[in-house]
Amino acid sequence: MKKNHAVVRSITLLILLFGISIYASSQINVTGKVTDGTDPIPGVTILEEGTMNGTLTDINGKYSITVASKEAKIVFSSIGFDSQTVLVGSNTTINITLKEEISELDEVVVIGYGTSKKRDLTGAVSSVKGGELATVPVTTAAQAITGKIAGVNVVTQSGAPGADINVVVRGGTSITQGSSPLYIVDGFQMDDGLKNIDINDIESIDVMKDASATAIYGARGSNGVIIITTKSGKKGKTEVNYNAYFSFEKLGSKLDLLNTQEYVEYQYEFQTLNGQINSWANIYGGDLNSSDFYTGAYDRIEQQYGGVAPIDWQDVVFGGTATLTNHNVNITGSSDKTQYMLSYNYTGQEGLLDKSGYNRNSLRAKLNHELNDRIRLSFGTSFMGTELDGGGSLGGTLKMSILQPVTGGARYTNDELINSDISNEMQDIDSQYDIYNPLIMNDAVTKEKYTRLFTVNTAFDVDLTDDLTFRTAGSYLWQQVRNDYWDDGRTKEAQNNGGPFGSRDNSEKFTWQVTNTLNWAHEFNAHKVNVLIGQETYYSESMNLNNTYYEFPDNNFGLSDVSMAGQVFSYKSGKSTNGIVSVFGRLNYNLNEKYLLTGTIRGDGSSKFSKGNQWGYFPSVSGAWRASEEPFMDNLSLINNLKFRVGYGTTGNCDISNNMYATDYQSGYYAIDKKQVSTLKPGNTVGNPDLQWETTKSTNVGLDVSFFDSRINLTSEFYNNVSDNLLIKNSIPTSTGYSYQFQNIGSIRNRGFEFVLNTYNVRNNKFTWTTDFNISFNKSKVLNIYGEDDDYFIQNYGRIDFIVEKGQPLGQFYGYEYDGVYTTDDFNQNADGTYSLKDGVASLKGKVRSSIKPGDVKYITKEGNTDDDGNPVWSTDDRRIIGSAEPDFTGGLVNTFTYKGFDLGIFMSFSYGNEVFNMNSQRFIGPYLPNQTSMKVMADRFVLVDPTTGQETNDLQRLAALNPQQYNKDAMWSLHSDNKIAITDALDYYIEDGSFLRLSTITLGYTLPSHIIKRMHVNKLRFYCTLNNIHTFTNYSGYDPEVSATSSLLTRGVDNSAYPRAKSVVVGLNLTF
Amino acid sequence: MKMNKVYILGLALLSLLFSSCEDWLDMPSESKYDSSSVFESVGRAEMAVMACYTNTFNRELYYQLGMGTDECMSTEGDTNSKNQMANYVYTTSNIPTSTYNALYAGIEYANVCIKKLTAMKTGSSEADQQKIDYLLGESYAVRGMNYLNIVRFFGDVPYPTKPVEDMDTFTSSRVPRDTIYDGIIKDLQAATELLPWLDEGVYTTPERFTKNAAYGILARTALYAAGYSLRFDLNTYDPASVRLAQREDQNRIAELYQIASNACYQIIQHGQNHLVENYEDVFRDLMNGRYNDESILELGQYGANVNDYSIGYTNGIYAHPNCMYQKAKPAMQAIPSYYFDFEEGDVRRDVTICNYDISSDNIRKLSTFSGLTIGKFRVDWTSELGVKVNKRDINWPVLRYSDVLLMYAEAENEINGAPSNEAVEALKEVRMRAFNNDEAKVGTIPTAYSNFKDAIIKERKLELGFETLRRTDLIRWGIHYETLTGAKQKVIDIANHTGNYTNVDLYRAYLPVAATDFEDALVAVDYISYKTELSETEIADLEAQGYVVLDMFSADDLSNGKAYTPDQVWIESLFRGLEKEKVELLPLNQKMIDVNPGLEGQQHPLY
Repeated sequence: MKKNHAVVRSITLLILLFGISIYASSQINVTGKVTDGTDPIPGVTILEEGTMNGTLTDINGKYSITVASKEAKIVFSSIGFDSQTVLVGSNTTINITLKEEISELDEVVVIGYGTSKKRDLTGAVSSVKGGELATVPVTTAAQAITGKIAGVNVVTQSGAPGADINVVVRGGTSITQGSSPLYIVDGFQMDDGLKNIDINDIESIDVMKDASATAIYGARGSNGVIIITTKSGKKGKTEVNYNAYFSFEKLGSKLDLLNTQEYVEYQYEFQTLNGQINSWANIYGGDLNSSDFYTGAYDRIEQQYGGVAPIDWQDVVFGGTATLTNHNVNITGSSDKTQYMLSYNYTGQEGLLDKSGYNRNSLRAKLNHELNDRIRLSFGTSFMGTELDGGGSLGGTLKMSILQPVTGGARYTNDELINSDISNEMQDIDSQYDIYNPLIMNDAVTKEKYTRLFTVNTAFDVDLTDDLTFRTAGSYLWQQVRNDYWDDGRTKEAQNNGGPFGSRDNSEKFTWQVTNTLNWAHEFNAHKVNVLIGQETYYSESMNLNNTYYEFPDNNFGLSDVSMAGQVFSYKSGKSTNGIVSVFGRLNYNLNEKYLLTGTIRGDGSSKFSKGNQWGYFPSVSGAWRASEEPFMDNLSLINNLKFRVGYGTTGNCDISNNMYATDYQSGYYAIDKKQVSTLKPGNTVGNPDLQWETTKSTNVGLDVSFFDSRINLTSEFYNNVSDNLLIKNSIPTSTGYSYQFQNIGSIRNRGFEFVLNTYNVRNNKFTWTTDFNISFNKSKVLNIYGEDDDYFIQNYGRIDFIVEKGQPLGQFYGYEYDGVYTTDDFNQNADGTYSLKDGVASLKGKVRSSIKPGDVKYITKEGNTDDDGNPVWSTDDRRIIGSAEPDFTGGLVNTFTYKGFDLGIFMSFSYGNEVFNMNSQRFIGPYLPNQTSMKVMADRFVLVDPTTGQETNDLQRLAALNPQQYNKDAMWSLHSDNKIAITDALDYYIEDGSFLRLSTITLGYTLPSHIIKRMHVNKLRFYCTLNNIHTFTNYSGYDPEVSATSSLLTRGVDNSAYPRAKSVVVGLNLTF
Repeated sequence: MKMNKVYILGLALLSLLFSSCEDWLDMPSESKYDSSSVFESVGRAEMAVMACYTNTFNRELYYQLGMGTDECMSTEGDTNSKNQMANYVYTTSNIPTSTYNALYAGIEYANVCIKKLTAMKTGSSEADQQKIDYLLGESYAVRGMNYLNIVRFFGDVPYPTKPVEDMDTFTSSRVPRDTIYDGIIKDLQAATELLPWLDEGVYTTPERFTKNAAYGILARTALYAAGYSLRFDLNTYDPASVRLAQREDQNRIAELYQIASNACYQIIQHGQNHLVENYEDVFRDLMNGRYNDESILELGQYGANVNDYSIGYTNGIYAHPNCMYQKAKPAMQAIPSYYFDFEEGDVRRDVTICNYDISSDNIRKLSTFSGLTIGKFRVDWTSELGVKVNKRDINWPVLRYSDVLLMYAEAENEINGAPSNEAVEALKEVRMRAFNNDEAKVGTIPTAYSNFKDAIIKERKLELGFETLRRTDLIRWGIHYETLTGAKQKVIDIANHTGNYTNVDLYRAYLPVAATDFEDALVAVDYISYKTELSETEIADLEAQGYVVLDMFSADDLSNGKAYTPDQVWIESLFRGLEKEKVELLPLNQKMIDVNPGLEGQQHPLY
C-alpha cells in the first residue's frame, strides 16, 4: 500500500512539472529548497551567474528567484559547503542538496577525554574514518587498518580464521612486557579493541602515537593509544543500512615438495644408509635376493615411479574452498531530543581446513538523550559472542600433511593412504614414526573457543555554565572465554592416555571504570583556553578454572558429561585482581589560531606495585605553530597549510602480571602412599618489592603541509622514544633457589620517521582519483640491559633463539652460520678404501671425527676453539646474530578511483628488510624418519649412494663426480643420520628475506544512480566485488612472509606451521533506505 | 577565614582520598600465599615442607649423571649432549643445569622452612611443637641431602643456609666442599635427633624422611666427605693445583668414617629394616608402590602432577610404542661388560640387566650384547600403565638397607684398617641374598683391608647398579679413571672375543613368546648358547623348531641396533673425553656463571 501511495505521488509530481513548463513565459520564476541532505540550509547565497541578480534562502531553506531565460545558470553557495551551479532549463522548481565542504583541517579528531579539530592538534595522531573501513570486506578492524596508518604495524599472525593480530605502535616500548597499545572504546579501556568491536560499528579510529598525545593516559600510554569511537544515532529520519558480503577462499600458495620419483629415491638412499633396505623393499618393491636388486634399483624406481603423480596432501587437507558470510544491519533514528542506533552483525567464516572456522554475532545499541538544556545522557551497550573452531597454529596438522608419504609404493594404494592411518605399521619399522593421517587426526580432535563479551556504559554531560562542563561516566565489561578440547580417541595421544580425553578451560573477567572530568573552554579576544581535569578508577578481576579429563570409556557425550571420565587428569584454578586510580589534567591554549600549546599531566596509582612504588606521574608538553596563518605566508598561494609541531613527554607501562612484587607460594603436589598430596611451594620467580613503572620519554617533531588548495597533503613525523626501567625477567643466580626476578633493568630506544601523503590527483564531476601513501621507518636499539656488566640475554622460541643485546635492535635471530657441507676435498682416501677427515677441518666439539662423512653439515667456527688435536671445533659459543625480524620500513598505498557510479580501490601493503625464520623448512627438510617426504630442495641433496651400484660409495672421486654442487655454500646436505642435527639447530640456512609487496585488495564497486534507486525507495545501493590477497611479491619460500608465531616483540618473525593465508573473492552489497 | 576553612577541609578530604586509594590499591593475590601467610599454621607449614621433596631429585641425576660408569652407557649419537656427558666430553655449555637449579630450589624452600618453623615453635602448643620438630627434622634432612647431591658433582659451590629474603645479595661464590660437608653432617645429625623412626608410625611410608633415612644419608655423606674428590686451590684457581685427593685433616677423615659406621649401626641396631628375601621383589615392589623393610627412603611418584622423573621410561627396558605396555625407549642402557661382571649364580644379573626387548606384537625379543637394557625399572613388571607412558607411578629408590649394610662394612674396614666381624657379616648378608643363600656360591669374604675394599667396590656395583651412585662412588674411591679405562678394554675384549671373553656366546637361540599380562612373571628370556659360528643349515634347523637365532654381536636389536664389532663408532666413543684428574668434577655451566657474578673467575681450572 505504501509503495502504491509513493508511486501515485511521483506521477502527480511529473504531471505538475510538465504542466508548469508548458505555461512558462520567457522570464522564469524558479523556486525550491536547499538542504544538506536532511536539514534545510538557511542563508544560502543564490546568484544568477554573470549578473547581480540574487537572493538568500529563508529559515526553511526556501527561495524564489526570477531569472532571464532558460539558458540562465544559478549558483548556490554557502560557507562550509561546496558551491553548485545549475542550468535552469525548463525547470521552475529546483531543489538543491549542498555537499559539505570537506577540509581535512576541520576534521574532528578524538583525543583522550575530548575532541579536537585536526588543525588544533599538537601531537602525533592518525585517524581512520569508519567510511574508509567499511569499503574493505574484512572480519576485523585490525585487518582493515593494516598498512594504512603510518607508525602502526599490524601483523596478522596467520591465515587462520580468527587469528591473533599483533598491533605495535612505533616499534613498541617494552621488551618482555605487554607491547600492545591501550584501546579506549568510547572512553573506556577494552583489551583487543580492534578485534572486539565490529568493523561496521566503528565511526572512527584515532591512533595517538606520541607522548604529548598519550600522556593523558599516563601509565598505560607508552605503547600508544588507539581510540575507537562507535557509531551513534543520527539526527534525521530513520535510516536502515544493510551491508552483506560473501567470500570464497582458496589456498594462496603451496609448499614445494619432492615428486614421486624423487621421494622414492630419497627413501632408497635414506633407508640404505640406515641399514633398513629390507623395509624399503617391502614397501617400494623389488626382490632383495635378485642379483640386480641394488644395481637396477634406480632404473626400476624411474620406471615404476617416474611421472606418477604424487598424492598432493596439501590439496587433500586444505585444498577446498571455504566461504565467509557477513551480514550487518544498522538502524538509526531520532526524535526531537533523542537519537538511537541499533546494530547487528553476523560473521560466519569457514577455514580451509575442516573443523576450523569463526562465527561471530554482535549486537550494539546506543541512546543519546537531552534531559534538558544543560544535561545530556548517553547510554550504550553491546554483546558479542564468538565461536572459534580450530585456530591458532596448524602445528601437527601441517607437519602431518607435509611429511606424509606421497606414494604407498607397492604396499598401499593412494586411497588407503588417504583414508586410513598406516602409522602403526610405520612404527614397526621405526618406533619414532610420528606422522599420522592428518584427515583422521583432524577429524578426531575438536577444538573450540567460545568468547562472550558484554559491555554497558552510561555518561552524563552537565553544562554547569556556558564554559564549564562536567562529565561523569561509568562502564562495566564482562567477558567469558571457554576453551574446549576433545579427542574422540583416534589419535595416538588418546591411545597413550587411555582413550578419549578432553579439557575444558573457563575464564571469566570483569572490569569497571568510572571517569569524572571537568572541562572549561573559554575564548577571549585571540585567546582560546581549554582546561580539563579529571579522575578515574579502573578495576579488573579475573578467574579461571581449567580441567582435563582422561580415560573416557568411549566417545559418548564428550565434555557434555565428564562424569564418564576415568580420571580428572589435572585441575587448576586461579583468581587475580588489579586496579588503577588516576588523576589527570590538560591545558590547551590557542593564540590567534597560530600558536598552539598543550600540557598534560597524569598521576596513576597501580595495585601491581608494592606500597611506596604504586604511584607514577607522567607529564608532557607540546606546541605547534601554524605558519600558514602568518601574514607573510599569504603570498604563497601554493601552500595553503603549514604547521610545525613539537612535543615531549613521559608515559608509563604497567602491563605486567599482578603481584610480581611478592614471592608467591602456589599449590603443588607430592606423592605419598600412592596419593597426590597438596603442597605449597614458591615458583621459580622471586618477588621484587622494588618494582617500578616502565617509563618512556618521547619526543615528536611533526610537519603538516598542504599544497594547491589541499590537493596534496603531506604529514611527516620524526620521533625518538627512549624507554627506561624496562621490566625484564632477569635471570638470577639459581643458587638462590629461584631462577628469575622481574627487575627494572632494561632500556631501549625506538627512533623513526613517518610520512603520510594524500593527493587528489584528479577531481572533477565525473572522475576522481585519490592516492594515500604512508611509509614508516622504525629502528629499535637496546640501550642497556642487566646493569653494567652483562649486556645481553637470550630468549628461546622453539628451535630458534633470539638475542637481546646492547647496541642491537630487538628481534635478532641467534644461531649458527651454515658453512655448506663437508666436501670430498675435506677427506683423505685411505688405503683400505675408507676415508677420513683431514686434520685442520672443523667439526662439532665432542664429535667423533671418524663418523663424519662428505655431505654432512658444517658450521662456521667463530670463536677459534680447537679440540685436543688442534682441529678447529664449533660449539654453542660459535653462535652469532644471524638475522633480524625488524623491518627497515613498512607501509601501504591506496589508490581510489571513482567514475560516475563506479568506484575502484586498489590497496597494496609492503614490508622491507625483515627476515623470517622458516621453522617449517627446519622441520620439514629432514632427514628425519623413514617413509616421510621432504621439501623440494632436498632433491638436490648431496648423495652418498651411487645410483649405478645402488650402494653407498666410499670412493671420494666418485662422490665428487656425483655431487658437482658440493662447493656451493647453500648446498643441501646428505641423508646421513648425523644431519638430523640440522633440523634441530638454529641455522642461518633457515633465515629468509621476509620483505614483501602485497597486492592486497582490489575492490570494484558500482553505486546505482539515484534516479533508479529512488524508484525503489532506496537511498543508496552499491554492489562490489573484491579480490583479496591477489599476489605477494616476495622471495620467501614459505606460504606467506607476513607471519608471526607469537605476539612478543622478542620472538617475532617465526613461521611455525602458520595456517596458510587464503586468496579470496568477495561479492557484497551496501544498501541504505 | 571562611576560605581557609574550606581550603583545609579540601586538603583533608584530598589526603583522605589518597590514603584510601593506598588501601584500595593493596590487592594481594587471592589464589596464592606468600612466605609469611604460609607459616601461619602447622598444617600449611607441613605443606611447605612436603614441597621440598619434589626438589630433592631430578631426572638428570640418573640420566646424564648416572651414565658413564662401568654399569651404564648412552646409546645416543656422539653429538647428543647426554652421550657427551656419559663420555666425559664436557663443555661449559653442555653441563646439565636442572639438577643444580632444582636442588638449590629445594634448599631455599628448606631454608625458609627452617627459619619459619623455628620461629613458629615458640608459643606453640606441645602437640604442635612435636609436629614442628618433625617438620624441622625433615627440612634439615632435605637441605643436607640436596647439598650432598650438588657437592658430589660440582665440589665447592655456593652454600646459602638462610632464605634469600634475609640475604643482602643474590650472588654467591664457591665455598670449600669440606665446609659444606661438615654443614651437611650437622644438618643430618640434627635431623636424626628430631625425626621419628619409621616404625613409630608418625610417617607410614618411606616417602618422607624418618630417623632411618636420616641416618642412612648421614652415613652416605660421611663416606663422600671422607673420600677422594677433585680439588683445586680456591684462591688461585691455578690449573697446576688440580688434584684428586681426600681432605687434608686425617683426624677428621677418621671421624667421618666413625660417623658413617655409627649411623649405619643405628639403623642395623634398630632392627626394623631387613633385606627382602628375593632380590627381584625389591624392584617388583617398587614398580607397584608396595613398601617393604628394605626400602628406607623413596621419592614418591604418582598421578599426573608428581611424576616427572620418567622412571621406567628413560631408565627402563625397551617396549615398542604399539605393544601392550606402550612406549618405553631408553637411550641409556647396560654397558656390555657389566653383564659379564656378575658371577655365575648371581640372581641380581637378570634383574639388574634385562635381556629382552618387547616388540610391537608383545614378543619378548632377546637382546644382543650391545642392546642390554636396565632391568630394575621394567614396565612389564608394573600392574598397570599408570598415567602416561612417561608417568608410570614408579618411585625413585633413594636408599635401601643393602646400601646401609655395604656402607657399614666399608666404614668399619676403613676405621680398623681391616674388616671387623660385623663388616664381614654385613657384606656376606648382601651376597647371601644375591646367591639365594647358597653359601658355596657366595665364596669367602676377604679379610685383608684392600681385598675387602675391592670386594666392597665390586659388590656395590652388583648390588646397586643403575641406582645413580656409581659415578661418584668411583671418584670417592679415587679409582674412577682406572676403572673406566678397564671397563672400556673389557668392552673391546668382548668384541674381539679375547682376554676373559674368549668363551662368550656368539649365538643364542630362543623361543619367541608374547607377553600377555601386566606384572609379568618373566625375569629373563631363556636361551641356548652357541659359542661357535652357526652354519646356515643349523640355523634353519633351529628355526624349523620354532627358535629364533640371534647373532649376539649383530645389529639385530630393538633398543640399540648397533653392531658389536671393535671398529664401531659407539665403542670408539666410549669415555672418549676421560682424562685423569680433570673430569672427576663437573665444570660449571657457563650459564651458572653468567647469572652469578660471584662465580666469575671460579670455573674449574681445567675448563
